Amino acid sequence: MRKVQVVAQSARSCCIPRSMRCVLLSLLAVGLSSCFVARDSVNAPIEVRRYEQFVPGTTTAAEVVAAMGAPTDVVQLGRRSALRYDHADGKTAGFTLFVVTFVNRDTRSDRVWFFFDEENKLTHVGATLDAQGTEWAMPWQERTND
Amino acid sequence: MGNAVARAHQRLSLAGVVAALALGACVQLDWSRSHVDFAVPHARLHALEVGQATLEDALATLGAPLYVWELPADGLAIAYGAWSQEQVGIQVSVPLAEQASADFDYSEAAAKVEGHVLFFDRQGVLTVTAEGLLRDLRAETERRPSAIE
Repeated sequence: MRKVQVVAQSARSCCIPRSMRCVLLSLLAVGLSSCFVARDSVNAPIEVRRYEQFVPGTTTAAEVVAAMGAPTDVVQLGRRSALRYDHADGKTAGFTLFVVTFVNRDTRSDRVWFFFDEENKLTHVGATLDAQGTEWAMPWQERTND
Repeated sequence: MGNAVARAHQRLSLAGVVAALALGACVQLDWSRSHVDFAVPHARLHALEVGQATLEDALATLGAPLYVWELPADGLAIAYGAWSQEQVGIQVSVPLAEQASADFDYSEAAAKVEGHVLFFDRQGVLTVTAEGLLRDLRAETERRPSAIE
């Protein structure tokens, strides 16, 4: 109880005048009021279960499209071809402190390529799934890839 | 006397607030950073030996490429890259200098993506690797899609 009184007394006897305190609090409120976050994405996330059953040498391009939907890109490779599916996730975070603005944007992608031979049979699959790791961060923070 | 000093303090504080707000409205310092994807780790790239590694090895080691294109003689190229930009600057409301936007424009960024390109022959064996601006490497090596009868 005595300790609380001592603390209260020291707060009252603080050297900052009351009017000044109001001004400082107002400044702080103005300075810290402009924080923002934004998130955006391109295409739907790629589900691994949709393509993990594909068998090179057996699965056809038509079966891939039937299971995965329309690809983002189709590349002709002579008589062969490749299909690309992708999804991107972006997170932007920032804040303005009086006259200084900090903004960080992190975008990561899920991407899968399917390669087909001359008979439209699947030959290779290449996948990178990073979109889930997109981070909210500030410019001075280290970017991690788990 | 004491009241006069207090009033002077008050006026000074108010002037400070007004100055801060006015300054904030026309002058901004910014520190912005943008990243898109990750660069391929050099160690993984160097694990692929020219003349030995196959397309399958590359896809298993490096994951899905950013771009794929056709090469002459039925070869193919796969490209890996990432994009990042860090900017520290002063922005004045009167546009004295061109100011980059923190918004990400993928088409603009795609033109600046640096990375690695792996070239494969008809049999899918790695023949050569190159490093640089992907747009330039592609323009130098891509073959226009051939007509299919």
